[in-house]
Amino acid sequence: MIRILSGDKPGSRFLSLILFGVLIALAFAPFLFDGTRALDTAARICILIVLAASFDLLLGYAGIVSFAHTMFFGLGAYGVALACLNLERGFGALAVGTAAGAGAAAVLALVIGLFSLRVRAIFFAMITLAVASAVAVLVSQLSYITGGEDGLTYRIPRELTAAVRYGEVPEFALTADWVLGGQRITGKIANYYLVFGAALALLLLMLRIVNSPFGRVLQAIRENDYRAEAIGYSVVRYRIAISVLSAVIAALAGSLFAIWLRYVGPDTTLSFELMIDILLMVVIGGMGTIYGAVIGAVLLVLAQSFLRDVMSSAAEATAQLPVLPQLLDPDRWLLWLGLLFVLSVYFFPTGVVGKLRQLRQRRTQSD
Amino acid sequence: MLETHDLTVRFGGHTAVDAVSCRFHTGELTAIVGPNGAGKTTFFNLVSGQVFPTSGRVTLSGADISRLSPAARTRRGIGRGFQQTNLFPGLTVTENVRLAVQARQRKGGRLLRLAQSDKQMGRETDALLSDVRLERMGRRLAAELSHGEQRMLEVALLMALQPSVYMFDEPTAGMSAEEAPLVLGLIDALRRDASKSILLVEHKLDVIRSLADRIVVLHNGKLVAQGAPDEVMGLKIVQDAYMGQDLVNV
Repeated sequence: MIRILSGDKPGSRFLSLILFGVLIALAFAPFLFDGTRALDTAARICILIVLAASFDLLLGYAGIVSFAHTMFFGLGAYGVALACLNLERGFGALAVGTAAGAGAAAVLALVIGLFSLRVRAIFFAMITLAVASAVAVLVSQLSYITGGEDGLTYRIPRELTAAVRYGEVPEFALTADWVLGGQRITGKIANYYLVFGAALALLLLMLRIVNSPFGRVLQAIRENDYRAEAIGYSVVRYRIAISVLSAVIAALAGSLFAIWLRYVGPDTTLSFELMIDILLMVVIGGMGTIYGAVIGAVLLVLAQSFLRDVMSSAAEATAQLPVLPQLLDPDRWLLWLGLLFVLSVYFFPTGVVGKLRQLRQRRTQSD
Repeated sequence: MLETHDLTVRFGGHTAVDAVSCRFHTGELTAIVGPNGAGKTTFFNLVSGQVFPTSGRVTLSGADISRLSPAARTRRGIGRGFQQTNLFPGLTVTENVRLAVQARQRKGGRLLRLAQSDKQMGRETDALLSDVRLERMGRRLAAELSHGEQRMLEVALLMALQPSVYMFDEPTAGMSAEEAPLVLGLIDALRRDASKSILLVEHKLDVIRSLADRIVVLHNGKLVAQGAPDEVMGLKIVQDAYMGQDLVNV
């Protein structure tokens, strides 16, 4: 197991349990949770884990602040969308679109890196922001290609849609009232497992990258780029390499998103809100850990998906009390979400993963 | 052989290093001395590539390296140690040294191998840590070491690069009475290797006398004297202006 994780142990028993729980929940999501909303949430989590972890490669491991990450995500998504619209329906179109999106992301990341990774971090961040904004405007304006603000809807292979039925999961009664299984296995579930499998493979690949000699160099550059250069590492080359790698993985996540959603639009793939969400996921989960991206993505997506419901129930439960029901009104969910983030950053400056590892370390030292 | 040819750098109106021409032969340890502000560290920066010269050249085995980046110069064989401790504080002691070994072996681009899987690199790292008596500190973060230990780690990083030109910038500064002889012993061992050149910036005259084959004296960025230790230290200009009372006390 540790070999699969590239020797990168979670570093805390509690964290291992959480991660295992997330893995099991996502692996069996189609059979554990009812309804399309739950499956959609699980697929989003898988995709955002990859997207956030690829951003962590940049921010947490190489110390590079970029605001162009959603742009690469969007390139991957639009690659699949355009291929599906312009090529014959089938897996070939998905493969071509995915490869084209990843290739375009690699080229663009290389060009941005060559021109701007020599400058100071803050200028690089500004340049990426400018390029990302320009691409978002371009996508909106070139509506005859991209569908503009309305985005694009397209058809994916029939085998990945709910129209195809592969069979049924045998029922398994745990108790008289609690029966597991019985669900129909449709193409939608196959689509989910395509997303889940690809996300898992990409996550393990990223774990391998950060624990490779290349990953150690990135950490050295983050810690002290001056010294890294002095011992013989060309800092600019390594920064460009990780920018390209991270962009390609973000584009692959975008392709998965497009395959899952069968729709792409600027709001869902290129928006600045999504960029902020990724940043929050990495910061809340814990920078420079990869596992932090998993925790951050799960927390954020669950909060965004279910905080309203929780607040609605809480408002009903406190209906007799003064002020509280108004405060817990579901319409105020963004206020509470913001408050939760401020508190989590305040109390866990090294992120959830960092905090759990610190606790574990302290306990080991006191023993 | 490392050479500088009329090496000059100006910062605004100030000339920090002024037309310094020197030869650093292999199998020789050259001490670079001079009072504070003489331009010793700037001269080091020019040789190792942290600063580019305004005019003049640096050549290594005849090849002009003046416009190469610090990383490129390191790959050509120039290894630089720093006066201020300059490590990777958030990485472990082992990882610090291993990174330098890995840089020398040019294995930093490996993406899919595990960093710890190279056993030979691991053994070399352990040996280097043992040389500087940090073998028990391997799992600690560099930031957690004492100042003296960090200086030792700094030396280990430089040794790991196995350069043809070693540049030590006050390597024993901040070290305890037990640590300093260890580092000086390592430098002395390197001095016996006929294929290496060693440049040493040092204030302690007893160290210079015991190790240096040649001395270069800088003052206000200019080279004012160079030659064998006895010859240079005997010069009145050096005694008066650069060594001051220290020389009398040694």
